[in-house]
Amino acid sequence: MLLQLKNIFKWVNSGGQRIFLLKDINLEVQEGEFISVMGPSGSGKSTLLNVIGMLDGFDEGEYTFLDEPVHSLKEKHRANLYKEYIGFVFQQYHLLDDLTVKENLEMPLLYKKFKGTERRAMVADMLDRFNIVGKKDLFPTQLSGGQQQLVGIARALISSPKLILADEPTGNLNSKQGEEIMELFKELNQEGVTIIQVTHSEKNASYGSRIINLLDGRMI
Amino acid sequence: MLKNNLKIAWRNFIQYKWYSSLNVGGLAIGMACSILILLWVQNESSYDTFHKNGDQIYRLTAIANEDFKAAVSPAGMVEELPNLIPEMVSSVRLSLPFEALFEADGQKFKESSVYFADSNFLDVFTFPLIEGNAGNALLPPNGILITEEWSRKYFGTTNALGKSIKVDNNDVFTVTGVLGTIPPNSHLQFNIVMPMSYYAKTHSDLINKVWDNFNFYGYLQLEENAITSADDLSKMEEKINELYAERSEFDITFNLQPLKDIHLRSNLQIDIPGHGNIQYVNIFLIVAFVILIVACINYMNLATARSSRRAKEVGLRKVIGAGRHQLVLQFLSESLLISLCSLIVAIGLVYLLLPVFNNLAQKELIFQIGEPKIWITLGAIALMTGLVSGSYPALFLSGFRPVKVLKGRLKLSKYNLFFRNGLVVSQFVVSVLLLIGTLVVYKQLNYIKDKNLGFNKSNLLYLPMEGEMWEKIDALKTELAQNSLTKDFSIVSDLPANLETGDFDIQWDGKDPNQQVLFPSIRADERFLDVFQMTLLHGRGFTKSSFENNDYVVNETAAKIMGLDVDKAIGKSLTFRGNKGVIVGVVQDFNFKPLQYNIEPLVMSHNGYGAYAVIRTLPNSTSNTLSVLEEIYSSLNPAYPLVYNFMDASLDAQYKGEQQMGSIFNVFALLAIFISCMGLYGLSAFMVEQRFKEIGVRKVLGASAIRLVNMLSRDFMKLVLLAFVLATPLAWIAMGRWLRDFAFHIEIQWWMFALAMVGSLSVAMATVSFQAFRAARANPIKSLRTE
Ligand SMILES: Nc1ncnc2c1ncn2[C@@H]1O[C@H](COP(=O)(O)OP(=O)(O)OP(=O)(O)O)[C@@H](O)[C@H]1O
Ligand SMILES: [Mg+2]
Repeated sequence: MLLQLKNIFKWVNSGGQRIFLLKDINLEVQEGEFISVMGPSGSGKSTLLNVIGMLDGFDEGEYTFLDEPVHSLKEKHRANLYKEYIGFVFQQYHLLDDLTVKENLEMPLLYKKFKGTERRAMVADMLDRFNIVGKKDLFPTQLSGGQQQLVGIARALISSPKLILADEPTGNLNSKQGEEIMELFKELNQEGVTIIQVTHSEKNASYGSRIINLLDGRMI
Repeated sequence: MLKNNLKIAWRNFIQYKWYSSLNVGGLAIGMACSILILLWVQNESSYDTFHKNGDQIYRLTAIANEDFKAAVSPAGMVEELPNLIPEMVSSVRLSLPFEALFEADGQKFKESSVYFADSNFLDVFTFPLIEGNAGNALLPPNGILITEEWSRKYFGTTNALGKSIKVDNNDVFTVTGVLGTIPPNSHLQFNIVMPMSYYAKTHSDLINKVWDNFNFYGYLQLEENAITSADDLSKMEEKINELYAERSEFDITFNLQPLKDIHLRSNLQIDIPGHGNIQYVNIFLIVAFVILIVACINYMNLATARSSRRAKEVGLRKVIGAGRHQLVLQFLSESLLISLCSLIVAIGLVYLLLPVFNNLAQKELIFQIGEPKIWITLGAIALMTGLVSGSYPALFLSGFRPVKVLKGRLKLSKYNLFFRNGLVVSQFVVSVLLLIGTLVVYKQLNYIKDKNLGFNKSNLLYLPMEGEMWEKIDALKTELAQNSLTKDFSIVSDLPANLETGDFDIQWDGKDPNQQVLFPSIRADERFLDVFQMTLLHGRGFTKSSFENNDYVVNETAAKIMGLDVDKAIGKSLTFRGNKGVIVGVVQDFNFKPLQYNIEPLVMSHNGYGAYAVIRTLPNSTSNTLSVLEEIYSSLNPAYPLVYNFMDASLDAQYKGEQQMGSIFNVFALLAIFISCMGLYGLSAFMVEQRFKEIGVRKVLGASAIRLVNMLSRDFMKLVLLAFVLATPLAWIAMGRWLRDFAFHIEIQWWMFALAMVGSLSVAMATVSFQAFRAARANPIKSLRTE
């Protein structure tokens, strides 16, 4: 088992009222799964993904990741866990605009203190694999949306995470580009990477092995 | 990682040129100021450190009372002390500096700052000879020492040993030594030294080895390790004071002033002119530090203002695995890069501005970048600046929660806003402080210039008596009286500028025998009061027979000290220096010392002979008067060139130190304000950028440009006002303390604060509204579309 959420609640206080963003979430994810999270806008999909990705906290419940109790870990320990095992892909790509494609890919490795030769090899590998060798010295603004998202995924993958979290990765792309990304995810999943994606499209969801539906912060 | 950080920092630096140049500009100006000030401070604190025995040399100084501490001591006492106290190795006496006429190779030179010195002068002090023998150069009474520069000036060569110099058209001296150039950081500045043995032929203090006349500077060299603590020093002083009490009836205390303290820590009268002031050194050190901090604050402000732009980057980096310390390092390397660039620019600025600064500070500072000490200091400045200015952005920015920033919901927390406003306020506190300081210094200096001294100092010129003039005073008087341009003249012993006389030997009826008051004195002729246009309160001035009658004129303060009402003093008997006479007049108090000092009791006696002829010229006839004087002088005293001075100019020259301080202060105040405004400019630009959309919307809804400018500037103006409120009491206290050094000073007035407030507000307003106007005038559609 990769991770387990038990009775997770998350809320915000607004005007003396408690507004629930997540309500009693129970979820088990096995290694190698490909899960799609669906639900209407505002139902808490991104919130859930962020909680799983440890970018956001929660108020009640237990979260176990690879047998580590995330809810009681220290910030630093949690960051290490995250750094080691999780890769994020965003709808808005979120590349560092001041860095070239190559440097964007190299950045996570730097933070993980890989050696220079290793880094270069890994970056070259990724560029090769995603067919963007020719773009390596361009800046993100010089790429198309689909190319940017490819770089975003490559960056999430470069340090071989066990889990990829993708929040509407194809939201800003046309359907052909979207399809390519989905094929890529499927490939990765077959190689053993666990994937959780948020999507609005039934078609994209069908690439996955399981669908979770959210409504008003509750799993249905 | 570091390489990577630097690469990114450099790219950021290049990409945001405008932002970077604001940063580098502010920091570079701040650093350049600090470097210049530190050079000055370093020079001021290096005085007399080049003497080999520097730590063992002390100057003997005399304290008569709280108001009268003097740098001089008795000739006999200084000579005999080493025989009486075993720890004393030797002593050197120097005469007061004097002027004389020197004739070499047929050319005549009028020189000032000439000293008589004891023969061991060169043993005690380290002034190397490039020609001659240090051991006996000052032994023969007809020997003379000159510096290499003067040797060249007199003889065209530094090889001047054995050459002759005639002094004051009288005795001929032989050059027995040529000195290397005197270091500029020596409190003793001279080009000619003459042997004390020559002076001893005529000077009664030296002949009689007196212990109760204070006419020489006495330097004592103690044994090494004789004084290792403050305790040792006071024990030694006690010993000296006991010895003195045995020998003299005067109640004088002596102090030992360390040689290295003379330049900065001496506030003595009758001192060698041109010394510095530790207070100014401290003030400037603080100013250097503060300006650097102001520049750092700029950086912090700009960085946090830009934080919304960088927050996203921080969030992203965290998402891809950056730890907080890694981000902190990244931001620090950025600020260090900026501060390094600034240092390079600053070094350029220092090279560029050093001549101007030297001119301002009357110094010959040099900036030697090769010296390791300089390198270390510069490195430390850059490092400190980089760390201080980078620390806040680094900690602040690296603390962002990634989800929040990525969702674009970043709002500056109250605390951060408070902090940033705090930074702006503290910058302006400094600016306002310096501004008020500048105003107060300026007004005080003006006050000094314009103060009614109790006599009319304008249109007065004076000639010192020299050479044959002494014997020809009567002829001079006749000649001066005959010409309508010069007939308004007086002969006086001393000028009422920086009177150096003082005597305890005074008696009046009813004087408490234990009372010991120092009375400065002036000897003057019967025209003195008229020529100086002083106010006689009671009685009369001197008449022709005043000399025989021992008539005295005293000032108000003297009358008060004698316990007399001004009008009842006339006719009272007074014995000064053993001459019994009566008080014939009381003159209104006038300043005869610089305005730092209170008016002391003054006694004036009559004498037709004196060291100066003072002439009141008619308005607008100075040049005519001078040509008349030239004629008279050359016929009476052909061997000497005419030397004259204007009374007001000489008086003003006494405040050179204060004036220099004032102008340096001005410059740095301006720079501090300039740097603060650079920061404000950057801040307002970012604020406008952040509110670009809001401005657009408001404009579409019909807000006028003025309204928008008002909206945008109001917050900043509040900050400047707050800064003003905080700076006011500080300025009050600080400037009050400075003014207290002057017995005569202005009062700090409310309008100075008002002016400083208006000044800082309008500069800040101009800076902010420049940005605001730009935004308010921009096409609203454009601003809305960019979102
Ligand atoms: N910090 C917060 N304070 C108040 N409400 C919040 C906060 N964060 C999220 N919400 C609310 O929580 C709900 C869920 O947000 P979330 O971003 O998870 O929705 P989503 O399912 O991803 O929607 P979409 O499909 O539009 O992306 C929304 O109604 C949002 O307004
Ligand atoms: Mg969402």
